[in-house]
Amino acid sequence: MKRKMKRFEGYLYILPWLVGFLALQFVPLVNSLWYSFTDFQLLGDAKFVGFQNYRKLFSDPLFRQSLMVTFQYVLIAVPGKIIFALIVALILNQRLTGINLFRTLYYVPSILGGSVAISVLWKYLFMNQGVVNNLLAVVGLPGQDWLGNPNLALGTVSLVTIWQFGSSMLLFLAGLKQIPECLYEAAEIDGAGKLRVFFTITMPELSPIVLFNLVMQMINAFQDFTPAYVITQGGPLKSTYLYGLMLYDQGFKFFKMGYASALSWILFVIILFFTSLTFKSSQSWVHYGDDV
Amino acid sequence: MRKRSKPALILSYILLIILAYVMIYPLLWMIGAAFKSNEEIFGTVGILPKHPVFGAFSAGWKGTGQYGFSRYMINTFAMVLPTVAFTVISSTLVGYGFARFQFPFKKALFALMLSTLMLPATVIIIPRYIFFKHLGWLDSYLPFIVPALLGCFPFFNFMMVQFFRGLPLELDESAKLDGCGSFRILVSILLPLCKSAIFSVIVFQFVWIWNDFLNALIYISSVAKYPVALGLRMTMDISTEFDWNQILAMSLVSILPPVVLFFAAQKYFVEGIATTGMKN
Amino acid sequence: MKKRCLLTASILVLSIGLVFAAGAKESAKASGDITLRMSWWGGDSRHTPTLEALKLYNQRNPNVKIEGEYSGWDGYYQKIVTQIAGGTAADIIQIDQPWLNELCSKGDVFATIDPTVIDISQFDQSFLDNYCTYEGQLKGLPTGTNVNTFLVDVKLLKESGIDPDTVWTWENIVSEGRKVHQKDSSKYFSSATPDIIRFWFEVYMAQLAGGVVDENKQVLFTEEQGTQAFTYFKSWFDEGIVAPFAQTSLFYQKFQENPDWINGKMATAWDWVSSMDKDIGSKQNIETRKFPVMDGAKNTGVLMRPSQIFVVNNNSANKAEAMKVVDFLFNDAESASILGICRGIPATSGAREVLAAQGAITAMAEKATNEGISQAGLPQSVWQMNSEVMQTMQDVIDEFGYGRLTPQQASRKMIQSLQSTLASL
Repeated sequence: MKRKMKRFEGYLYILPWLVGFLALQFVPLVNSLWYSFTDFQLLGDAKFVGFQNYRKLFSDPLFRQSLMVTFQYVLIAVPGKIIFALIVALILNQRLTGINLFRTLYYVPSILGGSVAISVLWKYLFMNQGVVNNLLAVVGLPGQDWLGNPNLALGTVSLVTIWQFGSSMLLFLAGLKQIPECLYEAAEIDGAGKLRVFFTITMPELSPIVLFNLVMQMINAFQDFTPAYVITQGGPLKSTYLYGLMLYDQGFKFFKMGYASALSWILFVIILFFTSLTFKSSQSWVHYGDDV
Repeated sequence: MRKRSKPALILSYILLIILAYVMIYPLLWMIGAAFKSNEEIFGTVGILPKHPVFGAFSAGWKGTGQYGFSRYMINTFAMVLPTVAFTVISSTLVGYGFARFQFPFKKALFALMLSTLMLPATVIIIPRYIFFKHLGWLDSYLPFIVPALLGCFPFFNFMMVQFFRGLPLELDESAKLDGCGSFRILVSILLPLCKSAIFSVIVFQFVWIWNDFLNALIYISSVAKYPVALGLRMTMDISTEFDWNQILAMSLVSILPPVVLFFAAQKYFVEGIATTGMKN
Repeated sequence: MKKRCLLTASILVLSIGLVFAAGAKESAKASGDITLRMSWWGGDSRHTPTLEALKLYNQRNPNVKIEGEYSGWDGYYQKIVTQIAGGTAADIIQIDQPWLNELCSKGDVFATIDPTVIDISQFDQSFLDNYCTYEGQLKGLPTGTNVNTFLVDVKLLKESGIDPDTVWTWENIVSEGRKVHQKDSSKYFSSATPDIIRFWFEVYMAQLAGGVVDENKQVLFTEEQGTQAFTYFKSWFDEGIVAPFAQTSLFYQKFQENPDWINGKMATAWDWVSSMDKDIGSKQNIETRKFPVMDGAKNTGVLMRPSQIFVVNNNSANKAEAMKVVDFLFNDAESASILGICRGIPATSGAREVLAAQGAITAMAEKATNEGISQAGLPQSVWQMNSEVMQTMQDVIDEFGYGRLTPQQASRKMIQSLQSTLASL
């Protein structure tokens, strides 16, 4: 009896989510899967069309374009954000005077989030006569159309994402605080160098958080569309036309909810693939405190 | 703490200050812009207003139509506080469940939980809206609060899993030997070690729900119940004129609560395991 | 530890309390009382008078209360669409003109206007036929008249050696207009952003071929005509009439936020009268002019359309009362005086007279409106206003503007893309 209870004790704790999933998330999820096989146009009835939406997708040049843009975005923004967040967290983890203030200041961009100010401001930083070009001119470098040049725009937009590294940074900080001081003391006694301490103690101890940040940032970045939406609206020449933006256009601008649903489920599969890959690889580099 | 050499210290500070400037430039710009006219906001580059105009804060606070900005602030608290509280509770429980217990289908359920994050919200909006309508939740804060209560923010569940798993299993083992039940272990052994993680949950969820425009837009229709995210955009129109400085002034006011929360609760980040841990 | 437990418990109790407080339904209202909802977007100058007018209606009809669900522009369309899909839309809805067809084509979402309840005699009948009718049924009423206007910065023109009273033609826009950029390379004749180049293209094509797309989903122009149009607009880039897309594309749909426009470095703007005041801001020396029209033009391409449309939700439980409110908003003198020009220059003659008597319409707006109406061409076909068709045109124009397509390639590509988009609708 008691052993049986033990076997299911975990269910007791995950019960809230289990109920939540079944009661709140399951129905809309199945609905959207169903829509992907219909010509649902938001209003009116949805007619079953089989795999038509999925077939259409492969001949849609915008699908390819937005997928390409999204992969590039993920490749720039995710590592950029995580590496940046990690470096800053390491610096902030020191006991320096005024560190509280710096920590708050660095988190400010994440609080500003999708503030109405961001779209306006970003243009003024990166436009032709903007702040960045003015700064470059001081150093004697030629200005660029950061958001107007199709080759630069995606990079510039990714900067907004990287700039909001605050949440990842906080998690790294929280993770760093969890590392028992005695480990460092032991290493010091052994006379280990800084780099060695970092790679043999800090990184392994922090690896669960690295995995978390990597997975979550990846999942988010694949679906992201806010930065491109508020700053460039996907332009110039679709160079920032993220997959999420295409989804939004198809669903809410062109009313092709059936098609948008199909696009979503394809993205779902893509994200699932890369997340699984990450989890698979994590077995070799993530170290948990509960590893025996 | 390990000692640092003086040049390294100075270098650290220089880096910190340069970076701080880049990070808060927008904030400084917003403060300056709250005292600028539309023409100056859009026509010039720079932070300091050349022809300062005042009154944006008071006019913005007074608001438009029937309600002032204070109403939107109160609404936002009514929406955010329960959501954050429930998120903390549910994510701790669910995270603990996945991190420390073995049970049938655990891996599959965990994968399922994460996978709910992978479907873009855009296509879920309409089905969820219709679903919530049937539940009678529209025009209330329930679409935010109940999912929090039921752990439907997998981000936080997963986050807590990772933090719990970062803690050594010996802690649990020794407590078990002392006759502690699993809930007792969670509350008195593990949670005190996870303060910074819980603080992260509070801050993130607070900021996200506080800033959530899209969901508020969809679910809240009465102006009397608008949170600040909607209140801020109340007067922004494509054809009629509006004062950007009022909107920026209120943007500044509206980020105060998250900033204050963050600054005040920071000490949980400074306290590491070394000061609170093992003694318990 | 105990303290913490207590705190947690109290937060829990408090939160649960809040949940139920938020979920509790309002108590039933006295019988016979009607509560209507009306949604609109706008700024302060629209919210305040509209609420006041609705209050006046309530004073006159104490059993009818109207709740305003007003907001800014951001996300308004998505919200309305979601509400309509969910069957929860307000009784009276303010929509943008192009949405009428898009929404009506998806289902029977708006009630047909009942002329026995709403006096429509004061509206211009052809205006209603052209813009507020779907499949022969009147589905909404225009809140105001909105026309295109051509803004010129008199001072900058003079400084560039151009006669500010020039009557503009397609030719002299290039031959005279180039002087602005020649005189000062940081200045341009036109403030057009990529989306506005599309509007200009549509004006040109209306004159050359009657339009871009007709009611039967056919592309109206030939490849030669398309090439002619693109060749003409190529001269805008070559002669420095308009700034390169690389500089203007970030002001897509927001040319008025371009510092070069604000700071008087761009001499002219294609605009709507309804947003003219906002776009001019505090700029001085701006006057309105007529649009260029080519010889033998089939259609001027100058647009006149409702600034917005009021519709009644077909799902409404109180359609009749909602119609009465709409009638009040349009035809009541006191209401007209309260609302003023918060939705553009009113489309009813009665309201216009009230406002004229009050002097509420500025001389500039009146001049611009009269110029626009005198030049107004045929309405664009519903297919030309379709959001996907507009996006298709825009995509080709973007590629052309970035120099990726020659005029001939652009013409060919636009025809092909339009045809394939139209076929999919």
